Amino acid sequence: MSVAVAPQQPSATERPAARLRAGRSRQDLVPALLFLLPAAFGFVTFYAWPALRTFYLSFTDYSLLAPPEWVGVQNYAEVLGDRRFWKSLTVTLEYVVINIGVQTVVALALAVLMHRLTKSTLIRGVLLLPYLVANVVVALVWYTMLDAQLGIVNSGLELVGLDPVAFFGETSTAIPTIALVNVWRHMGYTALLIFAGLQSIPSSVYEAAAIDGASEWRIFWRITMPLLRPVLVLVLVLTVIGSFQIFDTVAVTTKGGPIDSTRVIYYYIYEKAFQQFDFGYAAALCVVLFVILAGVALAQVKILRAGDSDLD
Amino acid sequence: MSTIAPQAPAPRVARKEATDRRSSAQRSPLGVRVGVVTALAVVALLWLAPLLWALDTSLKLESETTAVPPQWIPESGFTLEAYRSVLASDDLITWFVNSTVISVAVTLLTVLVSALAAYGFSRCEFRGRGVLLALTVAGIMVPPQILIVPLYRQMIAMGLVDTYWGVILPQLVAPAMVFILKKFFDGIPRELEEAARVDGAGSFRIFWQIVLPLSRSILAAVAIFVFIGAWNNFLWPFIVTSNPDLMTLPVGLVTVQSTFGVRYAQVMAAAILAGLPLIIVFMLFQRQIIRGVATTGLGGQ
Repeated sequence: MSVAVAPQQPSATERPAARLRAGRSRQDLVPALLFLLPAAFGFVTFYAWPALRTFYLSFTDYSLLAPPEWVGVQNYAEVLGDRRFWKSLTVTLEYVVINIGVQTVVALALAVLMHRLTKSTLIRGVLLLPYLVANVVVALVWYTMLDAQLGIVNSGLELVGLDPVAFFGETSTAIPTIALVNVWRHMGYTALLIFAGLQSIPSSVYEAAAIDGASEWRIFWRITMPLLRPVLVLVLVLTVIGSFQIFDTVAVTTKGGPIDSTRVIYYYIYEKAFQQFDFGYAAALCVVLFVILAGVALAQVKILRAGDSDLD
Repeated sequence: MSTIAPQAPAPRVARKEATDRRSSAQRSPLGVRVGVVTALAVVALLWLAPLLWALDTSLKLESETTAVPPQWIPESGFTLEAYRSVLASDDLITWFVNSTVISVAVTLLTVLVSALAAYGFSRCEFRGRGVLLALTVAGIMVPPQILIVPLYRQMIAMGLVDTYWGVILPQLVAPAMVFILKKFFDGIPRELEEAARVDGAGSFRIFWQIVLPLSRSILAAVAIFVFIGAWNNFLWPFIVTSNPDLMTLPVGLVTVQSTFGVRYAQVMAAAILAGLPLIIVFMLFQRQIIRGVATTGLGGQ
């Protein structure tokens, strides 16, 4: 922000350079096009065009069999009055809050512990291992382990005299269970991201703090957290958006049940589009979800930046 | 929140390796360190317990998987019975082949296409570059899953439903990887390329023979993470394939999951087999992967 230059000044001084660049620009255009062409083709065909189509389809009644029929904002009106949509939204939010809340706090603690105590590659490797296992496989393993009658966890609970818990089979426990299973899979990855951020903090800062006799607790709040904030923002934005994508675990374990308690937004979109073939409505749900995700990402960046400036 | 250190000299030790003997006598921070490291190790073991349990279960007889109380070592010993029955049906092998073909193709093509685009962004000046770059960054923020509905329709129109290409092509668009590679290419000094240009090498030769070899480490990191993503991908392959002969492992596992029923040993054996290639990749490239988390996960910061 300190380099606020008058807008007209650079254009005057840069004129010769700009002319030079313009000459180069013509020369570069052909190779540039060739380099970018494959990616641009893919981006347009599988990203930009489908994105525009989603928007268009959300205003139509479309079931794949007949051509889309324009219905205006009818889908959106229906979405707003759709009890199941609101339910799926709250379920997804509940999932994201538990998933991200637990994951971020524990991953941060693990990363700080690793940073201050051990540089062991082995421990980092162990933490990362669950991330390499597919969501689907992770879900299968935990589904088996947490089975209400035959799972090993409930056998363990019985051994110590507790009542068995139907982890996936109870409306109150299903979403927390799914959220924590995915925390297990993803936490090591998140911890390593934060760890990488910690390593970019110069060690001289810690040495100075140690000479001043600051406690570890104080060091954490006064040095680590403020300096880590940019990385933490990035990690949070990425993991929150990723967390909203929850689908695999639900598809393997509960399939939306019991009684709608785990019908997350993506599962609802999937059901609408690929089981009920209501593509127009599903497209409207996608657009609404997109708006929500964009809002969440913006809000996060804003909130965490606001905290940042306090420290200067 | 004014937590002041109880003993002035003590915290100073927590700094680096136990070099300060005096204070170690005072509060034995070495002991604390050993204690914490041991605790971390125990946590690490608990962390892996589910995977170990899956492996253990896969080596049991079906009748002993639900023994009460649960046992790590089954009474009649370990057996490969579950693996034998899982591999006896051709399905798993077919899916394994499909997963391999698709993941390898996705990895090679994504790395190639992304590297080309990244190099174009990094080295060529042209009108609209800023706009395209902004689009790339926007593409990172928009999760591609949100496009499944029109994408599926498009696959029907292109006749790609239930084909390898139908699974592969949409996975090739990786704006994040383009961005990471561009940042890396930006850091490569241009002198080498200019020298080659003076010698008459064209843009593609320079890219292929000078820039790519210099970028091996980042290309490897990107390739590994693209491969992990492709191998584990579920939603898109699940939607675009309905023919069991074309399914990938995750999709196949989910569709037959119900037929396995409570045959835990077989479920676990299939799960272990599905996870095995990545575990092997991990053992081979552990260091690169751990480093790669930072380079690919944080957008090449």
